[in-house]
Amino acid sequence: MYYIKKLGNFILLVWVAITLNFLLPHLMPGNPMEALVAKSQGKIDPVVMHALALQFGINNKPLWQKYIDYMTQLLHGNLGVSITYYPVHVSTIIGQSLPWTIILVGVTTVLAFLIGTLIGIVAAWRRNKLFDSLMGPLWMFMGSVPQFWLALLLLYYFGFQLGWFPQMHSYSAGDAPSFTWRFLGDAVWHSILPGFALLITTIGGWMLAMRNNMIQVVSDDFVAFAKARGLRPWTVMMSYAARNAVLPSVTQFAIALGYAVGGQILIEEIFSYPGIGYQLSQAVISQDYPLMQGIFLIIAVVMLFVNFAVDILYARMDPRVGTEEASA
Amino acid sequence: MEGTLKKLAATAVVSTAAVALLAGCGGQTSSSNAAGGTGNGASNNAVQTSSSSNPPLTILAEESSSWTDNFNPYAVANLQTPNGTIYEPLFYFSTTSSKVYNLLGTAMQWSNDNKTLTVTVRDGVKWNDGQPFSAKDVVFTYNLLKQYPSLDTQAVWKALSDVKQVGSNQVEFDFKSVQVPFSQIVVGAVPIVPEHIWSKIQGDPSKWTDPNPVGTGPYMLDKFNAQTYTLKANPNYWGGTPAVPELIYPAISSAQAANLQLTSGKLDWADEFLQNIDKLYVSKDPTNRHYFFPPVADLNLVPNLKNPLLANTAVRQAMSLAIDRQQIDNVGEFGYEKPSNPSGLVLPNEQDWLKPGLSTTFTVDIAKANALLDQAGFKKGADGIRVSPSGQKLSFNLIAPNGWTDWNEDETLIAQDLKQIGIQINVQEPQQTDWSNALLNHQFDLALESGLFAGNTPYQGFRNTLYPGMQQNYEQYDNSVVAKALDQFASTTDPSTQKQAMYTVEAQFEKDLPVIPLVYAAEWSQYSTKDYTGWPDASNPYVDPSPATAFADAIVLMNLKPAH
Repeated sequence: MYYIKKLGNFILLVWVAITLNFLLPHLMPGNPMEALVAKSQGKIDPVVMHALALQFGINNKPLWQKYIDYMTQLLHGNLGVSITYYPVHVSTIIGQSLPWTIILVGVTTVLAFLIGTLIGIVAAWRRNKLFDSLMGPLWMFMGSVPQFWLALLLLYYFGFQLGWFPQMHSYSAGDAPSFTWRFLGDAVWHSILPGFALLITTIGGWMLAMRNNMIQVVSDDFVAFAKARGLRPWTVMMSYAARNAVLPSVTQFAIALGYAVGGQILIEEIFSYPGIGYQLSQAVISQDYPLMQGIFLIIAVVMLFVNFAVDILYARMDPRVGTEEASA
Repeated sequence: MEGTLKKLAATAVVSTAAVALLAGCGGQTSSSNAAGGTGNGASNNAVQTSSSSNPPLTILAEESSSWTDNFNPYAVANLQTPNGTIYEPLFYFSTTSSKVYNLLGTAMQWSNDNKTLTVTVRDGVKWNDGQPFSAKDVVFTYNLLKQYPSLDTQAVWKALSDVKQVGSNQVEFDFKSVQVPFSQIVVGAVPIVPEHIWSKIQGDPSKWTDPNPVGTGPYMLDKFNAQTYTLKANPNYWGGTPAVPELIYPAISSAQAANLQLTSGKLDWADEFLQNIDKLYVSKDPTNRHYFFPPVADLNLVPNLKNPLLANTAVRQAMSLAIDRQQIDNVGEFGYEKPSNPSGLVLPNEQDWLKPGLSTTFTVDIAKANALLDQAGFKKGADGIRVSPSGQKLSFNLIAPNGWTDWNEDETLIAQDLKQIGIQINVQEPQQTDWSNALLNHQFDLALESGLFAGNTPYQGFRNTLYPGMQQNYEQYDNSVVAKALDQFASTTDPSTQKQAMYTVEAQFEKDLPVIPLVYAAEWSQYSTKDYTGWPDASNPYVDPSPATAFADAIVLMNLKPAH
């Protein structure tokens, strides 16, 4: 029952998201042709607007008609044709950029979560000891450094001055994506600077959240009881205290993973990393409705799905959740 | 941000620009190859043997996070435009000089009271798949544009009535009315495509991505991936094998990254906007690193002439006298964009068209500006702002797009200048699309806007801004003397008649100031002479220097010679 209800909710929310997703771009002033001509600063003659309108399929159909067209298209799995990259399909562009974003941002999110949470656990366990008083301020400081600024610094020193790491792209020029060690190594090599910039600015948040949860749990009776039973400190810390303290962080983590799909506009731009964030910002600037809608759709659906998955997972991790819902 | 914004997103249509050197196109063209040294020059053939060992050229024409497998020459927004390198038009009309380049066409001949243009098509040209090119492909291309208006990005079929083959190697263009200057668009901005490929496309060809482009140009697609694509020399090119064997186009998504690549010497040819270019770029290797920013259009202060106060010529004259254009260049535009001149021409490019005796410099004269306004009956109020005889304040809104930081700076400078003569300017920075909407719907007082990058005669620029009913006549200027002179220009191929017509327009422009020219908008181009020489520069501006200018890029490439 609990699962069916959650599934119903999920489907309803997806429909709402898709509808909003359709409406919002159409509420923006102007249209893609005007954006293109204005952006060209005199290089495009307004006479092209007629041909553009034909190419981009811009017309004065009523909004409800466009909505029906859009929904029909979606049901057929067709996200439409991008305007920025006309006449390339939106699905091609998303397919080209999303994997890079998922790998870069996804992996750094997981790493940041693991590292941050672990530091948080240890810091709370050894509260006010040297480790705690060093780690707290250090990661707080790192967390408050603007990401783009750190990225620029890394790019300037390690990419430009020292030349240790590549300055741009996700793999070397002249190479083509393949599942060989050489290519994977190359891709990892290219992701070190952007990944590092993302990682060290996000660890602080996880650490702080975990430390706070943990401190509360550590003072609970069952932890004192576990210690009194003479269990090894490591077991008490990880299996008793941390296991209970990590629940709120897991929710946070799921949301963070959802965000990861949206990409990192600034990081991607600075390192010319071919991810989805930059595509999204370009789509907004050029009023590329189909591309915008396609990316928003992916973000919304992934976000909802992750939340759905967390709801399900929560019932497993904390049995009280499922039963309360069921009995209510 | 200027980098990104100033850079012209969509380049495919750059050539839109071109218009009208009708001055005996035929005669001019025959000499241009020699003058520009383009195409089949002996120099290119001479290096043919060694060209494969020459280094490649890395080019940045547009910022983009990734490339898509799309080489359709009619896709207006296509960032990786194949126009020039892969696809060629019949002719190319330079914007920075009066040269006309013969590409797939070799001669033009007017007849039928200048309503019919006959183009002779080049012999012995092959498509890069080995098939022969002929006049049939040309006729096919134009008729394809007629059949699918979505391909007709230059609206050539608004002017044409028919395109047909004459004899074995000639194509006849019939115009609905006499429009001599527009012929430059018709034959100079339409890429010719192969019939044997494009006739087999199912449905609307504008929706086709053309992943394996077959053209006649000096280069052909070599390797493609989303981050970098490369073009290699076309061994069958009619103009001889190009000196540069390989062109590399990396996708670079931001101005910061692009500037870093440029300053670290990883780009050989780019069109970046870079502040302090002498220090940041040139000083690292002064012998090899160069830039050329030729003026290509006017940046105008556009008044809405339907506003009764701005319709008063004295007000516009006074504004023009009070604006310090040198300061706009130095402070707002980093010294890259020289002050404009009162004739409305872009100098020195259009020097030949300048009416003798016309002034070529604006002077700042606050006293004279104040005197003009006093004379016209505008008295200063208690707050220092002038009031018209009917009691209206001389207070205007000035718009320029938000984020175009150089223009935003210009706005502030103009506001300060005009305050001295009792005109209040409220600086506004709407979003780009709102600004463009305001212009198109004439809902503004004053706006900054650059003219179209137009042609190798001043005709198209003037017609766009001054002819009644034109979309770019944002100020709504309507003067029968100017309109008549422009019509006269368009109806003749006689150079002296054209000159007289242009003189009339210039004189009227100076008198009326329908728009107030500020500085020349520049085209950006940085290039390295480490491996190749022969780039267009101030001493020999044979063609538009930017790698983003469609068709012109190939002419530059064909003029390059190995440096060693």
